[in-house]
Amino acid sequence: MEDGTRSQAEREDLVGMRLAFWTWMALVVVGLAYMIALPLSGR
Amino acid sequence: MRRALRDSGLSLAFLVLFLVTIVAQSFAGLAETNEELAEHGHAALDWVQYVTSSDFVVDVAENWQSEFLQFFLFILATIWLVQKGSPESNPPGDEGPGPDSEQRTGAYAYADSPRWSRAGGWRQRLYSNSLLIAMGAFFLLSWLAQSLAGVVVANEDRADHGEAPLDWLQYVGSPDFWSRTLQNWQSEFLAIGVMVAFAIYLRQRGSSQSKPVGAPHYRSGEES
Repeated sequence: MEDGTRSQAEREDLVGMRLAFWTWMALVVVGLAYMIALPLSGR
Repeated sequence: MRRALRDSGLSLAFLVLFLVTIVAQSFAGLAETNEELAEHGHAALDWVQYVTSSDFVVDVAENWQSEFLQFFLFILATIWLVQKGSPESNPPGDEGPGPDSEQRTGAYAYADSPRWSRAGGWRQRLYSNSLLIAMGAFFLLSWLAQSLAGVVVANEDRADHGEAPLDWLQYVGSPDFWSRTLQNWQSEFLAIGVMVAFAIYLRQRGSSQSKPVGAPHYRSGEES
């Protein structure tokens, strides 16, 4: 029971940490791609 | 759900602050740009036109590059340079990348250490420097974005004054590019210097960026 509860909590931790990392990584990568592509299009 | 929000509160709070401020910046920048356009007898832009213009991009990129440079240099400098008494610094004598036993790499890795910290060769070297590599790459790319958007904006301005356009190389040697660049760099270096030095003697109870309130002034980061 206790092991089950702990692994559930660990899984939630993993999801939260991955979400935090990939949200910021995606924001930076998409932002940089946008900021490089836009002036290259001459706008 | 409530626990998940609490456990990611720091990154979520700054995500919300970032989104609110970049939207606010877009409206303030739109108003400023439209004032300048009116002075030159041009039609005003709407919000979508502004956020898809190099005017907006150059203002965002010049700040991004300096932030990533700040982190890049701070991470790099704190490998080799120390400030006695600062929680931002390794203790004097602990300069350098550190032995495997301290870094928990290779044979010294924990059972749940990241896989590439346990691996040898290029994978461990790459993972050992991954934070620095990411910050350095983001700095170079955002500085490139600043230069690409900057030359478009500078050439719009030059066209208004009947001057010939600059190519990219001419622009990266221009006072406009370096003024935008250096005004951001100086403030980042000021912020790092102030934080490193102030944290020797000043405290913020409860903050991971501060020594414990009762820690002696002479204690550096890992000694606190």
